[in-house]
Amino acid sequence: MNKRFQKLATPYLIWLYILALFPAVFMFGLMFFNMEGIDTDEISFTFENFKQLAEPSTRIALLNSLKFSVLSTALCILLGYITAYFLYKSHIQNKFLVLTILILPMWSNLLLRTQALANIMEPNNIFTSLFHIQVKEDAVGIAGGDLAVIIGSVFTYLPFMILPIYTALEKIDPMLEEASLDLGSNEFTTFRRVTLPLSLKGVVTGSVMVFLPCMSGFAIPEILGKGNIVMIGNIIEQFFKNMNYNIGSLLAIVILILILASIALVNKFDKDGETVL
Amino acid sequence: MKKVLIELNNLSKEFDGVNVVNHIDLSIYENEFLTILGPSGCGKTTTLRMIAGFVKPDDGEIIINDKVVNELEPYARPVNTVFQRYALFPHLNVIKNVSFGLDNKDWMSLYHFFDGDEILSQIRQAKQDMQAKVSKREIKKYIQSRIEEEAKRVLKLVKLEGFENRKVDQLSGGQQQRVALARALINRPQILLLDEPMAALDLKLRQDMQYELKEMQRKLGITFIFITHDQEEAMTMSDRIVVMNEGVIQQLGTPKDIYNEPVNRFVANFIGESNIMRGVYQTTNRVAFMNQEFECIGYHFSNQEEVDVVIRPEDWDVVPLEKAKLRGTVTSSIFKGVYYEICAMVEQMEMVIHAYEDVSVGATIGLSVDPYEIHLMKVEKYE
Repeated sequence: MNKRFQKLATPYLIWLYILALFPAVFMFGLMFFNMEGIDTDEISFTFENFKQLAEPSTRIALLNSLKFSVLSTALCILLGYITAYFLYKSHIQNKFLVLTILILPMWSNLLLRTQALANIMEPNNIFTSLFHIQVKEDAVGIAGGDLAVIIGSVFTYLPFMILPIYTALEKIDPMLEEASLDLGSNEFTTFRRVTLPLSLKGVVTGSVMVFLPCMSGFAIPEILGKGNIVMIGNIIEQFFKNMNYNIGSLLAIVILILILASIALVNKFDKDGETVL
Repeated sequence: MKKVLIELNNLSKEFDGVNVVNHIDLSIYENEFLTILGPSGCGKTTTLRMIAGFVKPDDGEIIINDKVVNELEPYARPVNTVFQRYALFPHLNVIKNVSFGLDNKDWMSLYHFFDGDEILSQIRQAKQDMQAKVSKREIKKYIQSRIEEEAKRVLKLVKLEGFENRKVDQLSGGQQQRVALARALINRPQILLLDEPMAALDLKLRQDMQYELKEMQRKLGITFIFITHDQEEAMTMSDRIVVMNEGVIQQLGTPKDIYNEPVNRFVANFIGESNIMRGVYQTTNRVAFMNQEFECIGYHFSNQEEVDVVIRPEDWDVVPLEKAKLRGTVTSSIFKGVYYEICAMVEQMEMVIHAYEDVSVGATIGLSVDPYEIHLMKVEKYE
């Protein structure tokens, strides 16, 4: 039975090898060379590229990425848990519909959505023009600041947090809460001792799913940060744009290692992949 | 006179317009093993959940220790539950599951739970100074160790020594059930509610557990309220049985009473096997059924009143034809181990008879019954 289904995965595996594994291996190779673009004429083996890691710009970008990712993830955990928990506790008939509405923004293009958000963050935005509101000359929007980037990330990645937490909560046997009440815990203690620990898997899965794109993304900081905030994603993009594939690859591999480490973390918490959708 | 521990007064619960529990009255005594027995959907689980506090009654009162507890939250009631599917906490190991209830208590109530004076003297003994001042921290630390000791003690009681650090999902069904039992018992509740706890166990294990549960109840002196749909289980363990159907208590009595003197067709059919036929009460101690008149003992009805006659399969006697009151043709005979289950057509009615000797299919047998084995019930109006 299982073997038959495994065959169904073959097209996907081929796809994965061509578009993910092969480029990753290729990049891994590239970071040890020095060359002009993808040109084998003046290729030379070198460890020079690794010096880039010590550059202040790289360090700052990495720290920036880390800071914004951690902040966004923390905010997503807070908002996501509250949303998922109240949805789980509510008596709404069609919870699936609510979930669909929550993930609906994901169906529109990320860049478009981010641009729209950037517009709203400007002093002169779509609303002021729609309602003919006079904006003062010296008014400043939040676009270009730290807050804008964090709002953008949370807005974009919150669904990735809500879904796994909600799934984890739904999988908790309601009898367990009754058992806890029966054994003398009130509602709050029950949450602390039973519901929260049992939904932690979802939080870990969600955190990784938010943290990773925050860490490697470059569109949101570029559009909402208006170039004021440089993250590691932006630097990688710059190197690739300037055809410096070697250093670009090196930095990309660094991010990849971070990603693999976080996936290993999820696997440790959620062995059966219960909360991964 | 036994002391009443729980009283249900006119208790009712409606779900979607259906009276799941329909105005029941019940007194449960201290140190009693009471079983609520009935088919699924009869309201037994809802009754139990109302006592535990998970379901709020629509009408009536639940009185525990002379206090109305209708509005009391589950965690404030002197009641613990063993759930049908055990509901063990999967993120905790066995001993943490067991000590869950005690871990919930604050240190002051634990101080009383473990007998404060004894705690003080234990700590002082350890210090070898019976006048020593004992700090709050020392007490708390001591209580922590006592909780663990207590959990181990209860695990020993349910024969699960050495399983302390196992994960719950590494246990078999029977072991999980014991953990559930230990988890409830450690709180020393006055009342233990058991919601079909044996439903998931295989027959042999279930029989062992029945015996152990009964033993435990006797030893601990806790009132057990046991829910089951298995009449044999109810018979084996209970001091008293409540037979419920459609939200109403059909009969309340000792296992023997309920078996020997069922009050209506439902109880007669539900508890053990019965042959039930319509008859007419003639005069004092005379009843007619199957075109014959029989002697009966101990029933008072009006003359010529219609009655339901119950005769248990084992109460029929197979006798030689000349001594027989009734004759029947054997349609099947199955060996059941101790007895043969014989089906015979008697006066166009199929009768089940348990006999110790085999008869051949197609043979005509004679049947008789002793006067004290004939049980009469009032005919219910809605039938």
